[in-house]
Amino acid sequence: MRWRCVFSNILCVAMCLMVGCGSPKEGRNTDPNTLRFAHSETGGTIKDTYDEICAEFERLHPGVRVIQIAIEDEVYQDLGLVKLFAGGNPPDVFFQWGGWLVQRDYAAGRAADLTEYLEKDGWKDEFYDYVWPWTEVDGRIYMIPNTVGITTILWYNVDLLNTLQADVPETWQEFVEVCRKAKEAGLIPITAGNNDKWVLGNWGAHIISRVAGEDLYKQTLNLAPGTKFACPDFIQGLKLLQELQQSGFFNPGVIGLTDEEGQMTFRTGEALFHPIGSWVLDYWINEVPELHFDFINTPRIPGGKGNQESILGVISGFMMYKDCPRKELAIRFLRYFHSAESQRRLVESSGVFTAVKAAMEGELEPHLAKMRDLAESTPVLVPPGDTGFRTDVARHFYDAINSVVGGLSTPEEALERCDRRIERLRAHDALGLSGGKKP
Amino acid sequence: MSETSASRPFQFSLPALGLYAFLIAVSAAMFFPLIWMTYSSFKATSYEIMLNPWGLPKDWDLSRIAAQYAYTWTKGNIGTYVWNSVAVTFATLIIVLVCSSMAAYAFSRLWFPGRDTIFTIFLIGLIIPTEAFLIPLFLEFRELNLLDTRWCLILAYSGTALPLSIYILRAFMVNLPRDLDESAIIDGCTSWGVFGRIIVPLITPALATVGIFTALGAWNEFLLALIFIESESLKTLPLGLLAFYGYHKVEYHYLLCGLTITTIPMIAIYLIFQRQIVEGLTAGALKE
Amino acid sequence: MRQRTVPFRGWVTPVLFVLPAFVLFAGTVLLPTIGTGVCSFMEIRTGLGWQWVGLWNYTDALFRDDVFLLSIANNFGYLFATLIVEVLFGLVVALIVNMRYPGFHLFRVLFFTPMMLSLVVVGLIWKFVYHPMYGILNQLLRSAGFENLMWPWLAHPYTALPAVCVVSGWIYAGFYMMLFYAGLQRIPVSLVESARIDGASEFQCIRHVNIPLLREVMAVCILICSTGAFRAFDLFYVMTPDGGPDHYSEMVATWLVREAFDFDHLGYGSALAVIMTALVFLLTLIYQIYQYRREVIEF
Repeated sequence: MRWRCVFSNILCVAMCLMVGCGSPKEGRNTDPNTLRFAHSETGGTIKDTYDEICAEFERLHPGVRVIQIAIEDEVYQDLGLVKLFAGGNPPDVFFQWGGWLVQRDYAAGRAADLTEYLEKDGWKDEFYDYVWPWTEVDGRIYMIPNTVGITTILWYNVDLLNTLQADVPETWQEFVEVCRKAKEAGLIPITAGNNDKWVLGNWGAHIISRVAGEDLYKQTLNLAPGTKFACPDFIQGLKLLQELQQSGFFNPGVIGLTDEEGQMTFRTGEALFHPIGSWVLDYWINEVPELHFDFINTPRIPGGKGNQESILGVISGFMMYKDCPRKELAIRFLRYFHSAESQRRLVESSGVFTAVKAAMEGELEPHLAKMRDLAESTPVLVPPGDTGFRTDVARHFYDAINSVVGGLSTPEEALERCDRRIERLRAHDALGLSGGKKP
Repeated sequence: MSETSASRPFQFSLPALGLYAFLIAVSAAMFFPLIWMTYSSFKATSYEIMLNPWGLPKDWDLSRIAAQYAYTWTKGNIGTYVWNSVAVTFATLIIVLVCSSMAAYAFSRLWFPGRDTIFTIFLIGLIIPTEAFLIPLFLEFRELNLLDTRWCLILAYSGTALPLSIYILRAFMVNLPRDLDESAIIDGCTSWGVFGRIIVPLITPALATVGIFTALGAWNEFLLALIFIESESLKTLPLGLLAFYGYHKVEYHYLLCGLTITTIPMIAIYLIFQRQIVEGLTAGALKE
Repeated sequence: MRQRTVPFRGWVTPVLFVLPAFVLFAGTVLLPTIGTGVCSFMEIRTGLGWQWVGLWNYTDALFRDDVFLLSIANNFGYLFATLIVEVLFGLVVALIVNMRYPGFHLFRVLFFTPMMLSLVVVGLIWKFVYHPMYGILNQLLRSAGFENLMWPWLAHPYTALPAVCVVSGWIYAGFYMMLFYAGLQRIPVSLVESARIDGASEFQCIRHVNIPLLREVMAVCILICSTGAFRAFDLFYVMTPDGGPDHYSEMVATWLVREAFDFDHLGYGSALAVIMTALVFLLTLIYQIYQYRREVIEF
């Protein structure tokens, strides 16, 4: 009988060890020199550069540890970040998209006011001027701007366009014409993977904002009273996408592929256009150097009420947790992270379009320089649906776009269905407790 | 599953051949995805998988394949996920075995006021789906600051495995002869003594059954882990594999390596212990 | 009859035996289940607090939430499909395997294998099978010359749900086969033998001896399968994230998680959980009534 006792004791000890070690929650953070840094860069050269910058910071500040919490961006936005805070061990510095999400975090009491820090010794002047509206709530700044993300541009394969003997399209008609030529030549005119709904959701949102005008677009997505998704302008915008779908311009299985799978045919040179954000540049220059590509903004849509030079974009950056016990350290880290040298590293290694002016000067990758000029010249930066507005509204809206792109329903049906779902949200908000309400 | 009658001698007849053909066809269709997954994971690039999904790998360079698997195991964090699953499963298993055998002993041999009511409450637990308590459990763990720790998974998995475990163990204990424990009590043994010295050794087969479904349940559970766990370093295998899929959406060769690493050992374990495992997983179903 | 008055010391030990299990069960399952009922009358938002809203969540779910109603319909569709691909197919295979030709027990062992795998792993493997471009199913169609039949299986409203049902059958058919097989083992050999002596063919034996005697097992299988269908989450979450094309493969459970945790409507999610649990209990109740009536009729 004794061996059984010994055995069970060993089991118990082993169990406690297994559960206890391996750092529950990576150690509940009480250490004044341990900084928790949450972001959504889970791989690629950007992640490597983040690692380098953090290591460098640790080297410059002996005793300091920077713990990175990297969560994939599709999860980060909703459940990911919410759970980090709900879990009782919040990060000190965390990534966020500017605009509505900054307001949300402010309303949820997570955001520290960074205005004073930025005004000290001219830190604020190091950034581009057009980024500030994205970081503010009631005139106070809650986010250090980091990246200018152009959420959707149309990448195209230069060699294929030359073989088709077509010019770079400037208007929607020209664009459709080039697509038709490509289709006749046996190419895939437009490739995308919309399984997660944001890829073409973003592009659709941009097209709609061009057709309906930025004001109506913003009001509708902000659920302003009296607005409807199934309004003539929105329907008109989605009809443009429907036309592309009905002409068979999209790749087969467009709504069943993930974003990266959708890119495959572009990388292999089978597809002409690929609508996606500026960030893929990093991947392409590093992984497919033989690809000869360029990009255009969404073509001008004649008769549209919006600004036809607008770009779809979002400023993202880093926020500090309001009750962070080591604010000084966090600020020191953020300043180091946003120094021209650190940002230059990101620019050079990964083609990141940073909001720090000094890092974007001098020799630049040509596509990146083009993006910088595009962003500086544009009169309007339109926020995309998913990061610029409430997540639940965006989901329903992007579902409608997905439905049209997949040929599952007409723009009218899709948008009316979207309206019915939005109606529920409005009723929900009318109850009083709402995360969506402006603070 | 005792073989009550030996298999009949094989006679060449058309129906028999038809049945063989049917079963072989079904099992071929069934196992093809697994076989395909395994040999495709030996391919060097995802292009090779995409361009020629059916073909065998072009080269069988063992060191490259090993490197691919090693990359998946270390860089892909699969090692961490496996370790987390092992820890959670192991702890759950011990808690469930101890608690449920004790409770089943009390339910079958001892009496206290409200015993049958409490047992009925446990029985109701058999049909409560996970979703029914998910949200308040989330809120509860948040209040207790247990979210995103291993403990919340261990507690939740133990709690959900208890009803069926107690039910099976009690059914087993009721059928045990009472002579032994009665004589032990006459010899001056306490209930604890009877439980530890007499009952536990006798119920080992039932404990094995309970252990198997508890362990497999905890190993494969996904929904609770999805809601409760955020840190990369604490993810269990199902959750981790999904994250791994998210990071390697187009690196099919790594993804298939990850799936193969997690699948093949499970199949091997099954083939070794198949009799016990079948018993464990079908237990309870027919006794309801 | 047990004595009702036990001296104090007499029942302390038994209670101590049950206590750990009961505390654990009450803390993680019982109280939260009751809590779900309470939460379903509330509006709960992370960081914003709680508010009593009465039946609002229920009226919202039943009268305004088209996705939820669609998900219930999908769940019933899934239920009937799984009854066929899991239970019926399991029964057929069990009857075949029970014929005990040499080597048949090997098939029995093989068919049970998928039960060992986590649903996430299975879902990811089958995503490859169904992949719209490089999936082995579509490639099979292409090499067989049916290029026009290549189809985005998981991304089309017509096929998303059936495609997942097939996977469900792939996993669970073996499980039900084992249950039926165990049931068949319980049928006395003499019964079948005597039927055979009376000149019944193989098929007649199955039809008139085996199947009637499997009725009880069948009822259990249908119960497990139908309550299981309402709990379905993992496969759908992995294979058709976001409810699939236009929510055509949305399940109650996936919609519940999306509403509760992604949209941060924990109270509304609780109401959906209550409705779902009520459906599961209802199915169990039907089963109990059936059992009860059968006992009354037979004895």
